[in-house]
Amino acid sequence: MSFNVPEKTVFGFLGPNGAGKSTTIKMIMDFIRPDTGKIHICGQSHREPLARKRVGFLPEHPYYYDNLTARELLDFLGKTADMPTSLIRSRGDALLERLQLADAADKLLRTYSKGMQQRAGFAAALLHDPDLLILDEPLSGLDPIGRHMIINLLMELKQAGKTIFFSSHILNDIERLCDSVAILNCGRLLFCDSLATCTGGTSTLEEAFVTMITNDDLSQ
Amino acid sequence: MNTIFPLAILTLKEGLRHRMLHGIAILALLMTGASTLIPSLFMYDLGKVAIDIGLSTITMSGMLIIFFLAINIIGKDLDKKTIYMVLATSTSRAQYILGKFLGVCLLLLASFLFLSCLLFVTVCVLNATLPHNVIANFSWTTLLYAQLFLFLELVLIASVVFFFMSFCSSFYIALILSGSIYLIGTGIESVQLALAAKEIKTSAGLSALMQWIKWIFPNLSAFDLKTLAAYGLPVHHETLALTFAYWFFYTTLLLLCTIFFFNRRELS
Amino acid sequence: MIRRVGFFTLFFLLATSHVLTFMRMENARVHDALAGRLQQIKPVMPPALARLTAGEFKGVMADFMTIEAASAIGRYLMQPGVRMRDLPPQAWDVIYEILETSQMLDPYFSDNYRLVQPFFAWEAQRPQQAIFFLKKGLEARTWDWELAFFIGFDYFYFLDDKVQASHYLQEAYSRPGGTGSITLATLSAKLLQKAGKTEIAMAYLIGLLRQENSEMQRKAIELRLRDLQGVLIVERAVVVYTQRFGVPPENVELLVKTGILAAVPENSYNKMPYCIDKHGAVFFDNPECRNSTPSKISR
Repeated sequence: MSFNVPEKTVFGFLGPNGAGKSTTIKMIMDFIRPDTGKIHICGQSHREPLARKRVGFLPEHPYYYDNLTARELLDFLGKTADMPTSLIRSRGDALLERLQLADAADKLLRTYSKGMQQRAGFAAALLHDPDLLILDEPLSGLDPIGRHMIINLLMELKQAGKTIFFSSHILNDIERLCDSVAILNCGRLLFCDSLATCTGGTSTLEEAFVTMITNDDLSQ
Repeated sequence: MNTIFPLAILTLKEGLRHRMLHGIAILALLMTGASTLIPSLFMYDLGKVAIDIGLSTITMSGMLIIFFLAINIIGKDLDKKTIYMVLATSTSRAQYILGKFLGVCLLLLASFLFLSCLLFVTVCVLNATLPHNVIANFSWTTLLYAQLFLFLELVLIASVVFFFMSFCSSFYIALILSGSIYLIGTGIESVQLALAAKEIKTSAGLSALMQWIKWIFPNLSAFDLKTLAAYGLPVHHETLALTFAYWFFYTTLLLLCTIFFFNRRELS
Repeated sequence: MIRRVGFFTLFFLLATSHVLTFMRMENARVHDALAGRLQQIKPVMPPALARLTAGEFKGVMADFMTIEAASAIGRYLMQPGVRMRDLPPQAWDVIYEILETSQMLDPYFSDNYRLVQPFFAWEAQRPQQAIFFLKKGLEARTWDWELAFFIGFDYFYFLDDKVQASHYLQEAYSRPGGTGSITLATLSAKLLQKAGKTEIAMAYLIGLLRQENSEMQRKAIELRLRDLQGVLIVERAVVVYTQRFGVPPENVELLVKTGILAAVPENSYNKMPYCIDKHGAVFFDNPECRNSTPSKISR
């Protein structure tokens, strides 16, 4: 599998359950190691820890240290990203405000609901103002309000010229946000191009996706 | 460096707020209480008994912190994938290990300082109230040495735990393995001495095996100065300096191996 | 309402039964413990194994072993109406094993030795065992003169071995706390004389005199040396007399009469007359030696 995520685009990474989306993302983040092949982030090898400096990452099930508060978490991440304390404070507060977590900022993450944890994860991923966002299922586990909030946030980031790479199997969201898509099945890349090419201007993304996967399964 | 220290502080905070630590603290306080009451059951060496119990309390609490709290914190980090959050930043895996290790050491230091203060108070009170039962050669310096080496021992055991955590898939396995290392480490010198004194009869093969084993397992008896402290026996500074060097090289080597294995670990 | 009453009745019934059973269980256990004598407190592990497995908690384990032994002596041995001397040897064996385990774990621990001396040397009438135990302590507690004194005392009083007794008294005198008590040295010399080794006793005292600086101590040593000098003259004369007549003389005067001694030297020890017993042993401290058994211990 080989693909390229162009700068300043929103890239949707689709596939049915078990297609290998999360595995690919873990490989990009260097949590697991590919048998062969190379991955580059902003021109640097992904094995280089500094390559992740401009990357914001949101794991599939964000679950943070139980006994810490959201603010302590952001403090920590800010320090590891070499941010000055004042900047950590101001950006952290702004993000928590934007994600409606300001009231809970000093509560232990243990007490957070699933949706709140997901939003805290967003704050954590965005704190150091990364150029590239890698999000694994960013919209699962959110209620409609939270979802709306996140989609708006992603739109803003897109306008601000950030590169966003995210996996999902909720096709509506992808259709609304993405410039390009990659479609994955059983660990193989079926398609990788702009959204318009995928739908061919006629069908919806959903139709195109289902056809592609069914054909692939049949040919196996 | 700018990732190691924040991570250490983060680990310290996480540990200090852990319920398990509260349990360990209660246990330690009970034992300290006992160390003021139990000596009255004895006739002569009361001061010795108090120091025995005080130092053993420090060891035991440290052990509990390492084997339950530290393993729990790091095990959960790997199990529940909280580690992704740390490694998604520009933190390398080596920095992660060092930061976590430093955090655990800080946690041990906190418990160590707290209990050492209690021990000092106990000893002072006993010395003041029962001057006849102070051990003949009691020395604060020896007691301080004993405490220092006890702390070094705890740090070494923590590095053993980290070593096993770096490649064991389940933290129960790491717990059992490092627990066994601890038991072997405290007994190995006694066995060696018994072999040398021909108290135990064994085959030549077994003796040869012992010669190899002693290089692998840590000799934890070297850090056990409890008896010296309890009776104010003379300490040999050269031996202590060598013990310190042994501790330093063993621990750093083990941490290097930990980083080596952890770098190759799949975090799926 | 009914449920609540039912609940409390049930609770009350259970609580009462619990209290009753617990009390009975406690009684039964005490009874069993007494009946089973000491089996329960016997250490689970042989002493050497305990040392290998105690790891770094040897000190604390030794403490608890000692408590166990002390409380066993209290609970099982000091029963009202039972004289300690009549207790079965197995009981003492168990206590000894516990103390031995504690000693193995921490040979420095003083309380063990202070338990062994009164209970094993005196009560159990096992001086040999006590001496064996104390000697190990002597090696560990190099600063403790009392242990050497205990051993010396046991040798003299229980085993009537004056040479060994004297040896351990000298050991006690040579240790930090014992150096203050010159009696240890003079007593040791006296014991050697009683064992027929007057010259060795004198050599020991002369050696001490060389290193002793305190005036008081020197006086005490010189005094005892003078005692021994007198005795030595009489002793040598007794040997000559015995060779000549085949039997030891009955008194010192006979030595002068037969011309072996020109005059009886004056006994510096309270100016008492010397006494020679049936075996020819010379006493400077017991004029009644022929009809009384020698006093066990006197200065």
